Amino acid sequence: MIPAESPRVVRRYAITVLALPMLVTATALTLQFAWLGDVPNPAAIHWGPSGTPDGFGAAWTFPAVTVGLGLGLPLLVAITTLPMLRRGARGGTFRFMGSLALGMSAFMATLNTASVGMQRGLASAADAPSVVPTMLAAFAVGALLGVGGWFLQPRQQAQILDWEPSAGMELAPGERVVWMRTASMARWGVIMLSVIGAGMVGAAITAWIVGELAVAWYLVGTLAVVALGAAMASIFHVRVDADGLTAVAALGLPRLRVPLDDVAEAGVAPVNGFAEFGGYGLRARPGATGIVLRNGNALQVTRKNGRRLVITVDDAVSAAALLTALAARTATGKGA
Amino acid sequence: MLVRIDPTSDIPIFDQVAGSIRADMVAGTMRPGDKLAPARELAAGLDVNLHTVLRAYQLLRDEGLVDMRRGRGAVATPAAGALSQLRSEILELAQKALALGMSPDSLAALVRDSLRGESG
Repeated sequence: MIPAESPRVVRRYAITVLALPMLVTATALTLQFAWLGDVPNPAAIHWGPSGTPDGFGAAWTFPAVTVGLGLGLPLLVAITTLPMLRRGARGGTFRFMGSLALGMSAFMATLNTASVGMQRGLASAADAPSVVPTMLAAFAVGALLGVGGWFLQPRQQAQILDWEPSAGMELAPGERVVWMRTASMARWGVIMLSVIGAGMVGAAITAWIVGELAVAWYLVGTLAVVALGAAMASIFHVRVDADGLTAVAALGLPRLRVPLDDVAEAGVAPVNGFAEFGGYGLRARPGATGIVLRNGNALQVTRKNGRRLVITVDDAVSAAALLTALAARTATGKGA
Repeated sequence: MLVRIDPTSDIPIFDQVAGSIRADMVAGTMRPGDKLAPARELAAGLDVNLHTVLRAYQLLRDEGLVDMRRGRGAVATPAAGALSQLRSEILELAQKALALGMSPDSLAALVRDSLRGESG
């Protein structure tokens, strides 16, 4: 059943994530192109930590960044989320992602336009004033439009696309059944992490050879933290048995568990990590926890308190059927 | 992998465990290169002796369906993937036997006999 307000939800979302970022970017570009002729060449395009310009380049960098990030990010969000909303998916995450995209767009537009504006009429880009006030102003404008985007959209009652609660598998009395599977990251995720790791190892070795020991240690420390984070959130052993549902990271921690008597419903539904959880790995959002290592079909378990656990694991159909059957057996066994 | 055992059945538990894993291979949910669950964890989940599970894994290894290497655990072989070719025929056979009112045991006995005829 489609709620009556649904077209409005989608319309307002599209305005927030697409129309307004386009309008903001177009306004920014109009101003920037009108001012580009008055800006020194090369222009100041980067400022150091103290706020003084330390990087110089062509002035068209500003409109390029305005379009690339200010419009590119909302487009990326829209491409992944809008089709899901149109097909009936709902949730606070969509509302948040749309507002975030608008805020980011407004931030980039303000920052770049103001950076062009303050260099008009300067003889040399080295005379460019500090970027710090501009940065703060851009942040304020971004936050304002982001919050505005949030309130422009109606509340969304969480609703999952193609949600199918499992009917449960047939179990003989006294039959013992175990389902086990390892959920791991998609190939492209592993490649990306490996490239980042290799890059950091290379940088650490270079720093060591050059004699920058402090930098080398800093890189090694960061690498250790990244590697630990990846190990804790990229491979999970998932199990359904008489203890309920258990998901343990390859490292032994973290461990997530749903006991049989806390299972309200189990089923299978597709998940898009970026659109629904804002990323991949071990994720939390209002109303749901996710072990989201890829897109596609996932095991979805609703607890008695309404919270949902989402795990992207293969053969989730068997897991959901077994969990449903075991939970039902526990409930009847207790005479509930 | 989905492993189901019925302690009240006459079939030995290790045979039931091996049969369950074979069924996963036929269904295609266990593919070549997939790791079998660590024997210790499976034994804990089923509440059976570790040696029962190890015996099932050894049986599958003897059949060439599983490769066991120190440190890597048990891994499904290409032969396990070939099992999925039997899937539609097995389903069809089981349905026909059910329609004829045959018991699972007598169907299994018939299949066993026909195999003996082929090899003999």
